[in-house]
Amino acid sequence: MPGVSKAEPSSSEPRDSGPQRIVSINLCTDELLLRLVTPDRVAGMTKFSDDPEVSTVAKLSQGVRKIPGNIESVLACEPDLVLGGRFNGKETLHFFRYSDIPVLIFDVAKSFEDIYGDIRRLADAVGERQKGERIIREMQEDLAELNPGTTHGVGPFQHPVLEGLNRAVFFQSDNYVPGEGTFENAVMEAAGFRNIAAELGIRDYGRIDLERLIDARPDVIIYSSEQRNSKTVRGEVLGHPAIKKALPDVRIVTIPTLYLSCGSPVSVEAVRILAKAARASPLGVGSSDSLREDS
Amino acid sequence: MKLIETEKLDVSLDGMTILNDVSFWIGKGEVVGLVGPNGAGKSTVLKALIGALLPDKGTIRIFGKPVREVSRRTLARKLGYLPQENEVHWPLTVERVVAFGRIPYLMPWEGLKGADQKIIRDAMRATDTFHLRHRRIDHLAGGEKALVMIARLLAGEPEIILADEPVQGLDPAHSIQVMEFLAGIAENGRSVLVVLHDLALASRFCSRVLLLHEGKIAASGSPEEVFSSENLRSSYHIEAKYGNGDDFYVLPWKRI
Amino acid sequence: MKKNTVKEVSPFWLYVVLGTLLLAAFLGSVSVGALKFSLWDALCHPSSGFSFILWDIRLPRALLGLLVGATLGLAGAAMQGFLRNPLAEPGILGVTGGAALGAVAVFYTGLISIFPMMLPIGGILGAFVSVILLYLFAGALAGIQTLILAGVAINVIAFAGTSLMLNLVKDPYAVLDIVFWQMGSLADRSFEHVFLILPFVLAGWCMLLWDGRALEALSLGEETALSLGISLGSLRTRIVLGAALCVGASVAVCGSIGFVGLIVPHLLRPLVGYRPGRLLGASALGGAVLILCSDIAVRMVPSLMELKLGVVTSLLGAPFFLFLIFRLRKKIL
Repeated sequence: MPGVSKAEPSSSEPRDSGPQRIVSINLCTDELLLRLVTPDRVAGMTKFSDDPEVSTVAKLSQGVRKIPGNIESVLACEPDLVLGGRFNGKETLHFFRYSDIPVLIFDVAKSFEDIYGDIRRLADAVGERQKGERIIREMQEDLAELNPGTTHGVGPFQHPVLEGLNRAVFFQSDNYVPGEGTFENAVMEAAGFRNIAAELGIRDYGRIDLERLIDARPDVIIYSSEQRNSKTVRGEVLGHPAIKKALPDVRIVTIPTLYLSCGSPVSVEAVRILAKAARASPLGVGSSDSLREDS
Repeated sequence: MKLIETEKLDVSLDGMTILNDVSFWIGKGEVVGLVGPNGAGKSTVLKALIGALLPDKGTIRIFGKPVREVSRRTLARKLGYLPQENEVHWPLTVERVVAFGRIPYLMPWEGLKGADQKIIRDAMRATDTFHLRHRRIDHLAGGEKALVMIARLLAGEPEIILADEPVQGLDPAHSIQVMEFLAGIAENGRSVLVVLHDLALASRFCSRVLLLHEGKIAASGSPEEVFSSENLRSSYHIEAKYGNGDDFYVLPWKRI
Repeated sequence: MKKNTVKEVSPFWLYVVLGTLLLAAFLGSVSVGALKFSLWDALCHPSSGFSFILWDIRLPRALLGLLVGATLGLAGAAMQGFLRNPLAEPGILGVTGGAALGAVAVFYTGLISIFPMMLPIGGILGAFVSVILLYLFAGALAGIQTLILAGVAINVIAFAGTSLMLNLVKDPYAVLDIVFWQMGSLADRSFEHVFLILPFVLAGWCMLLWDGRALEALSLGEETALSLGISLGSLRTRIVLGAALCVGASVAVCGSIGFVGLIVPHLLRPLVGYRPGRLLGASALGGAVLILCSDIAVRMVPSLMELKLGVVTSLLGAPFFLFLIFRLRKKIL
């Protein structure tokens, strides 16, 4: 029975080499991991990482061993570091917390600062601190470029708000909208928009009646591509004819879901799509543009 | 004139033969009693006549025409049927139940006209049930209910009445009343085929009797002829006493 | 003390009252919503946001409520007349469940992308199969227990099948979708939904309303009805098809809404003198009123999770159902 051990990587780990048999049982940690280490250092990851429709590292994950993520499959990889998310694989992570093998658990990123923090933490654990810092710097530069005037200080980053048509709402299935404190909100603000849901006082995810949505007169309505394109009953409201009729001038932007489902460097692409929408002509931006960004 | 005629009728149900080579006819103005022991097939005869059961072999003719060539509507107007189980599934009023007799005369979208209402009222008066017309059918005593059912039959102005044990469970007064109605109907030029268990009633009211035994017509003729002691012995296994004098009657007396 | 006499309410007044209630409920339905504004404002300013909300969100919702409510009331009355049983109704007997399964199958297998009308057709087929199964299990003269047991079995099969459909859906939160189907809702429907089901619902209504007289004759039993000139075979076909068409299409678009077909005919039956034929039209109106009022209640009760229409009708209907069983217990046993 493995003894109790701390969940942090011990200081006796060599700084340069770091763990060589890393196992990740969560798609978001899969993505972060493959951006920091070469695939030969990954002993197991989830099968979702191969699926280009949900994974942003589908090309990189080819050839890496895929495991279901239960305790046995992780043990079979003989890991020296286990990565997981807060909301799945709880039993597996719980088991390994009481072993000698270090475990890192990552929460859902709610802002770009959270992403930077996650990158740093993982980079430290795998001994790729420099690479991590480089990735963060690139992200910050990209964001600053997309929304000139964006600064990254010691605290939360400052971003100017667009002039003119800058009120946006992210309309999700079953009338849900992300409000303050959500990653979608961070993406919208990074692109310079005001989030109507936040204005209405919604924290985290709240719901908005279709009538209120129309009454709020958004300049931009954002959809998540998977919700918009797949057939679900809860998603039917997204295409309600009243939206186009009552708001004929509204700009519709569809963001590929995979840029938002995990907070990763690729999430900057979501900001890029939104920023493009802000600068395009009122009728020009639509899902076709956004989907072409998909690769 | 033969109002109903069957020829060599074979009827089976669930693989069992119920009627075998049954041939008979009913003429105008007759009250024909259909008697026989339990399970002989009496109800089956009536059901075959109204089309609830299809015969395997043989023909049925109504007013000389094969029954298949008669439209459903015409058949409904000519035949009046009273089943053994006199069920009414909803607590309807007496007047409503009697009004059902007019259904063969109405199109699905039509309502009852003045003429229909008169016929209904007349039928209730004739059966002494007019005072019951607003009462719920499920609150009536057996005798009253039987009369209401007769009224329903009359409201349909049928030429032939097929009644399956209409006096079941009725006291002597009501039994006689019902049979008197049926006889009266026949006197007005219609015909009645009535299934009876009560041989005394049958002998009293029927002009002709058909004795059904094990799916076959064992005897046919006047009550005196059919209710002979040999017939009663072979089909019912009973012995009966007979009335002497002007009125013939038979009274089942003991088992043998 | 039961009443010995039955006084039928004059049909004219019955329809006048029900019609007025329906109009009031309809107006109420289009006046209620997240935004408060007066109808007059919306009507006078055709290009205001209020106008679009009235015409494109609230009006289709109220129309659907009318169509679905009338369907459920009518189908309930028709089934009760046909089966001669006051506990028969599309929800209890599994017709609604079968329709939901059919609709869900079309929705999630992508068949709906071929042709939007596949959705109500799927619901209709599902309802049709349910009624056939019901008839096979229970038979024409089934007692209450047999009928309800058959309905339970069909509902269980339908629910299991609906849940199995989850395997076909990529969305990991599809379980929520199934829950929505089971609970029924009129929220955020559009005219597309109305036109999608309208032909099927109207066809179903025609078939069922045609049978008024036949159902009356059936009160006296099958053989007597036959002798009165009713063709039992074509009656059965019309009831089965008619119920499948209107219930199937309604459920396909609004999910499972139950008990309307139980409550409404029961309440109205004494007012039509217990006549199964007259009950049909009255139940259609009454069902529409009930659904529209329930839909108003759904929007007026403030709650975090949107209160589902089917939940409201179940909250009304299930105790009612138990009460009915209790009352009829003596007659059954």
